[in-house]
Formats: sequence, C-alpha cells, structure tokens
Amino acid sequence: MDKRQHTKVTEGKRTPGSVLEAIGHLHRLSSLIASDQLDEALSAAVEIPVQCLGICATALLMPSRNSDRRRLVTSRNLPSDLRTDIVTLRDDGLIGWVLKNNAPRAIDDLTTDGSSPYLRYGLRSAVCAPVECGGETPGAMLCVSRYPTAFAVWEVELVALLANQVSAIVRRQESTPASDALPSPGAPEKSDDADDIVSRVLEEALAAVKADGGSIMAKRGNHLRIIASRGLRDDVPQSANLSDGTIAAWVATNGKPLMLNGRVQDDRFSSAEERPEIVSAISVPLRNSRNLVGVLNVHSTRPWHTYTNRELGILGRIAGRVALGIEYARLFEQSRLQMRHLRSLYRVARAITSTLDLGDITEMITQYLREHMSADVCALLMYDRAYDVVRLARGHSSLGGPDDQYLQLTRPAVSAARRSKRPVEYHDLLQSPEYAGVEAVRRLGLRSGVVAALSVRGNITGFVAAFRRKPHGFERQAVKVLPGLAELAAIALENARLYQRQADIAHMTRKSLMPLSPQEIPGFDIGCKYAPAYQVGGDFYDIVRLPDGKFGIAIADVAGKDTKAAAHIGMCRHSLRAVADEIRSPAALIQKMNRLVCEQTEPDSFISMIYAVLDPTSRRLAYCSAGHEPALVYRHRSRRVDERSTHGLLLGILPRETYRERRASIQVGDIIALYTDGLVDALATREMPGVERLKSLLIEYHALPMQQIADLLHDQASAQSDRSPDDIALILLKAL
Amino acid sequence: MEVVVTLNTRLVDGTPVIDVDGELDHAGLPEFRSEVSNLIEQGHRNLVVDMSDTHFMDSGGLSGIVYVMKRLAVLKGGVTLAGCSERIFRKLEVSGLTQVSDTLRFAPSVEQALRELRKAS
Repeated sequence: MDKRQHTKVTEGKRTPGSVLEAIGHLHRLSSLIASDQLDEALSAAVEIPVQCLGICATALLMPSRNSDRRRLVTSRNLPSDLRTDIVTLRDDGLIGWVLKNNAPRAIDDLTTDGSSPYLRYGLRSAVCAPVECGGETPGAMLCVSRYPTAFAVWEVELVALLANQVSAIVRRQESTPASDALPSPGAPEKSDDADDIVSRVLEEALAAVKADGGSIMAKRGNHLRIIASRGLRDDVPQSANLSDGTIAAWVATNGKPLMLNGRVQDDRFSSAEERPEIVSAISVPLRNSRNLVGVLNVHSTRPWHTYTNRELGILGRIAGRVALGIEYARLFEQSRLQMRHLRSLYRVARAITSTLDLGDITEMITQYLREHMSADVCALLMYDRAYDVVRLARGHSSLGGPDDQYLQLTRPAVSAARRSKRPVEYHDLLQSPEYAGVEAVRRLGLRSGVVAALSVRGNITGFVAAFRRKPHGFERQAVKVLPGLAELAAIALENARLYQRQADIAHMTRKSLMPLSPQEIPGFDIGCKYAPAYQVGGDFYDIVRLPDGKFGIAIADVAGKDTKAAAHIGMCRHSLRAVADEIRSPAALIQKMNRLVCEQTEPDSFISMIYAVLDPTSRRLAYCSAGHEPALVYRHRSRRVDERSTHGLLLGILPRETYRERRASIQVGDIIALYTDGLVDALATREMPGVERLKSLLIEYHALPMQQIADLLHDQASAQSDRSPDDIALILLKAL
Repeated sequence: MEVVVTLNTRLVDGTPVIDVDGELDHAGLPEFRSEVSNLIEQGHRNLVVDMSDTHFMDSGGLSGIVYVMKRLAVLKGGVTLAGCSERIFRKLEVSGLTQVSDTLRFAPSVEQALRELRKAS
C-alpha cells in the first residue's frame, strides 16, 4: 500500500541568501569543529542551508560500509516519505550525478526533467555537493526546496564548502574508536596538523617491521610525492613521475607489492636509484577500496638482513589503515585550509560591510587578494554599463609597473568570466592562448591567474583579478571562497557607489543652488537664508539680473527629498535662468516652467514656485505664483502685512494650465518676503498658523537689517519646530 | 526616516475609506501610494480619505494627493478628503489643487462624504 503523501507543488519564492550571514555561520561552524564539538557542528552544518539560503530541507548521506545502500546520517526538515526513500533513490539525476562526477550540482527547476523523482515529494529545486570520505564513494549533502529557484554561484559553493566541513566532522567522529582494540592510525589529536598525522602513521609502520627508514608517498595525478619520511638521504628526490622506472613507480603503476633483498638486477624497473646503504626493502601500494592513493616504502640498512613474507604480510595488513590515515590527513588539511580561508573571508566581510567609503572598500579587497591569495599582482576593476567599458578602481603590484597593466592583464579573461559566472583560473598563463600577446605577463613573470566577475542582481558590475609568478599558484580552497568574496564586494561597492552618487549630487546640487554671488539690487537691502534639512535639499531660490536692469526673483519648493528631486531642482534653476532672460512676464515664465516640469519630470512630480520681476527704479513688482505660499509685503506706512498671491496651480500637474500675474507698488520702508512652507510650518503653533506668526515677526523686526531678520526667523523656526525639519528658504527685500 | 503614519482602510457600503492617522508626508508616501494602487487594482474608482486624524501634511503628502487624483482622473473617478483640518485645507488651497477639477472633493466628515457619493451615483 502506498502510504506516501503526495504534497502539492507550491508556487512561491525562496528567500535568497545573504552572503554575509552565511559567512558568519560558517565562521561559527569552524569554531565548533576546532573546539571538537562535533555533534553540534554536524547539527549546525545541516541547519545552515535552511537558515541562510531559504532551503526547505537538508539531508546528509554517507556510503554504507557493508552494503550498497546509503546511510542517512542526519537531516533537517526532511519530509517523512522522502526520508524513507532517500537511501535507495536511484536515477535521481542529482545525487547519482554528483557522486559520479565528484562535483557539486544545482538544479534550478526540477520540472525541466519530468521524470525527476523529487517532484513526487513536492520539491522544485535542489543543490547537492559531494562529501569526501577518503577515496571511496563520496557521501552527499543534499539541499532541497519547494520553490523553483535560481541558485547563485556563491550559494552552490557554500553548499560545497559545507559538504567539505561535514566530511572533516564525520571522519573525526568515525576515527574515535568504539569497538576497535587497536587505535586507528591517523586519528588526530587536537594540535595535530596533517604532517603530524602522516608522520605518526609512518612511525607505526616502521616499528611494525623494525625498519631503519622509509617513506610514505602520496599519489597526485601522475606523480608520487613524499609526504613523510625517516632515514632518507638528503639527495633522495621528493617526487617521482610514475614513468620514472623507480621501484615506487612500479608498485604504484602495477598495484602490487615488491620485496627486495640484496641488490638485484630486475628489468621490471631500473635501478636508477643507487642506494647502496639499503640492504632490504619492501614497497606496498596503499589503496582505499577503489583507488590507489600512494606507496609505503620501508627499508633496512642492517647487513645481511632480509625481509620475509612475514613482514610483507604485516605491511599488507596495515596498508589499508595507513591509506586511510593519509587520506584523512589530506581531508583534514583541506578543511583546515578552508577554515582559514573562511575566517579571512569573514574578517574581510565584516570590514567591507561596515563602511560606505569607496576608497576603503577597494583597498580592503585588493589587500585580501594580496594577503590571502598571495597575489603578486591584483586588481579591482569596475564595469561601466553605460559605456560598456571596464575601468581600473584599484590595482596593486609588488613588482611595480604602470597602471594600464592591470587592464591589460584582466582583459583577456573578461569575456570568459562574464560567461561562466564562476572564477576563471589560468594555471599557466604561458600556455593560455588568450594571454599570448600580453606584454605584462612576460615583463612581470606572471604564471597563474584567477579572474572573477562581480555581479549585482544578475548584472556584471566589475571584476577582481589576481596573478602570481608561480604556475598553479592559487590554492583550490582559496579559489573556492572567491565567489563569496565577489558577492560581498559587489554589494558593498554598489552601496558605496550609490551613497557616493547621492553625496555627489547633493554636493553638486547645493553648489548649483547657491546664487553664484550674493546679488545686490540697487536701492534694496536683501537678506537670504537657505537651510536644507538633509544632505539633498528640496527648495531653491534665485535672484537673476535681467538685461533691462530689472531683477527676477524666484523661490521654489521641489517635492521630494531624494536625488530625483535634486535633479529637478537643477533642471529648474537652469531653465529658469535661461528663460528669464527672454521672458519678462512672470506669468509667461511660470507657464513655460510649468510645461517644462510636466515634460521633463514624472507625472506625480511637482514644484511650487513664486516668480517676481522687480524694477528697482520704479519699485514696481510683477509676480505670479504657482501653488506656492503667498508673498508677504510689510507696509511700512500702515505697519501691516499684506498677502500677495495669484493662486495658480502647482507646476507639473496640468501642462496647458494658464497663469495670471499681478502687480504691486513698493514704497520706501516696505519689505517683500518670499519663503517656502518649511518656514511657516515650523513657526506654526497650536493657536496661531505659521503665516500669522511670520507676519507678526516681520512687524516686530522690521527695522533690523534684512540679513539679520532672515537669521532670526531661521533661528526661531529651528528652535520651535518639534517635528523633523523641513527645508527653509527665505528672501527678504526692503526698499530703501 | 521614521514613519509616523498609520493607514487603515475599511470598506463602507463598498467604498474604501482610508484612515490617515498621523502625518501625511514623505516618509509615509510609499505606503499611501501602494494602498491607493491596490484599491484601484481591486476596481474602486471612488475613494474617501479620512483626514480627521491627520495633523500634518507637507509636500510629500501633497504628492500623495496628486498621485491619487491623477490615477482616479483617468478612470473618471474621484477622491474625497473628509474632515481636513484648517491648516491642511489651506495648504491644499495654496497648492491650487482645490480648483483643478471635480476629482478632488471635500467633506466635513466621512459620513457626509459617503452621502455625497451615494447621491452622485
């Protein structure tokens, strides 16, 4: 009977991961591992994808020693039916692929493969990474989600990193002997490093057959490299090629042990190694159940000593455990390296995200490349989408050189980096056709390089590049954390750039807002005040000298406090100056400004404005208002204040709106006040509207110089205002 | 910026009444616009905004009013501001929006506003 529940496939979204959070978690995980809290570490490891990547469930599968089935070591949130089935799931296109290729894989939408077994459990996307277990079939760390998802490169790498950490945990846990009478070789102690482990293993082997010396060689590709030795002459080469014809090479190639007593001529191998001190020797292959991982050599220098089948048998029996030991050491070293890289990344992450200063951020990034990736030459470049060019943001070379070398070195990799979205590695630049003509490579002696793209929301924003004089110069683990750095860097730089742009606009805006020189109008005392509330102001005022000796006076309030508003102000100011020269009638000017604002800004952007033209000789004022607070005119003779407005509509609402203008005659001692609503809002009290207060203050202060009155009014407004301040702009003109 | 406005919408006889409690300014603008947008998407063409608890409005708030006016004008609908304070009404007068069209209406209370709407339909 099929007891499975068929869960509905849900539409919805996965919350994408935050790289900073993830790095923080990994950092904590590595602390748990380092302090031997292995159970907690394992628990944390399967929890991290759920917490940081919006994954619904995680499962850790390891191969079973005795059977073909996998073991479910631990899981988080796995639906019960999947939990039962997962150990026998075959042809799932994911775990199978990962185990076979020993590489991580992500499937953004499982429905693209209609036969995927995961669909039965209501799952829509998955990421899987291999967990190494010492050369045998790897285990698998599976993360599944109910939502179809595009996994970012750094997210897949994160799961792969977790899988590696998990393998370290599992190995450590399993090497604690429960029922084993003999201690396993290679069980690490707290202060061990990989070298210690392998040396201990070698010592045990040498002791077991009373050898005078020997070595353990690890197989790396076509090479055998000595990773531990005792009693070898200094001139013994540290590594040998499998085709060298040495004894170890023969053993590694043929997978069979060799025992030699006395000096023999044997045409299975050349006695190119003249080692007269060696009297007898045994070499045995070291393998895990599938692969040959190295060779164990022991020798005796005692005269007339012979090894027998007995010693051969002993070594044969412990060879398996020796192999495990060196595999363990390798994994241990790998995960320690990873932890080291993760810790550096964490420190950089915190530093980068705690500043908005572009200079600091770019410096930190190149510093990371120098220190943690040992780059001889490194650079951070920004991609300008508008012009489709790549520009240098910061470069560093311990070998000197001109600034244009960084671009030269990075350019060949740019298209590959953009395409692949993963770091592009060059193990030997001299062998890479893309770098054939690059002069800087030869001049600086660079051999290896890695270039990664920075992207924000799917768009490329820049590149990081690192180069070394050593071929194969970059540690695999360092390259693996590079996507994490790239992700962080991209976000931090984007934020810094946005902040910078805002600040630049504000700066530019403010500069362009201030009248270029304080205007003087003959026969008038002028006082002005402009106090923007935030970095980016929303009001502006201007006094323009017109060709016929008259003056145009404008004050305006732009809706909005963001950079869009600032841009509108700039537009407004420049249009005003251009138009004022030609159009003398305030109504016509306002009408023109209205059309401009309608055309050049968003439908719901608007500006309020008063524009007046003053003839200083006749003291006649013509004015037109558009949605703006009324102008106030203090009449000296009557000691009263008139309100003057034409009651026009805000600019930017109706493009074909018509406006009227009015005139006023100014007498000696009269004061014209133009202002924005920030001032009257601030002056308002519960009892009295702001305008009334402003009128009474004008009457009170009328005898003072205009600039002094402007300052006093501003002080009054700032002192009184109990809500967050608005911009205050004010122009006062007194006829003398 | 701290948001110091609370928006609550209730339906009275099928007409949405948005209660603006606090200040109608730049900080609250995105929420106001999004609320209006949602209501329009749900098919409403006439809205009432209860301003009786709105004690402050600046150009940000005006922006919100302009937004709702423009959206409803296209649909031949309208928005009634109910219970505006003197100060806020004055601001709207200064802006000239009160003269624009029938899209923007005023009423002393929500009940009155709804009554006018019922009469019109």
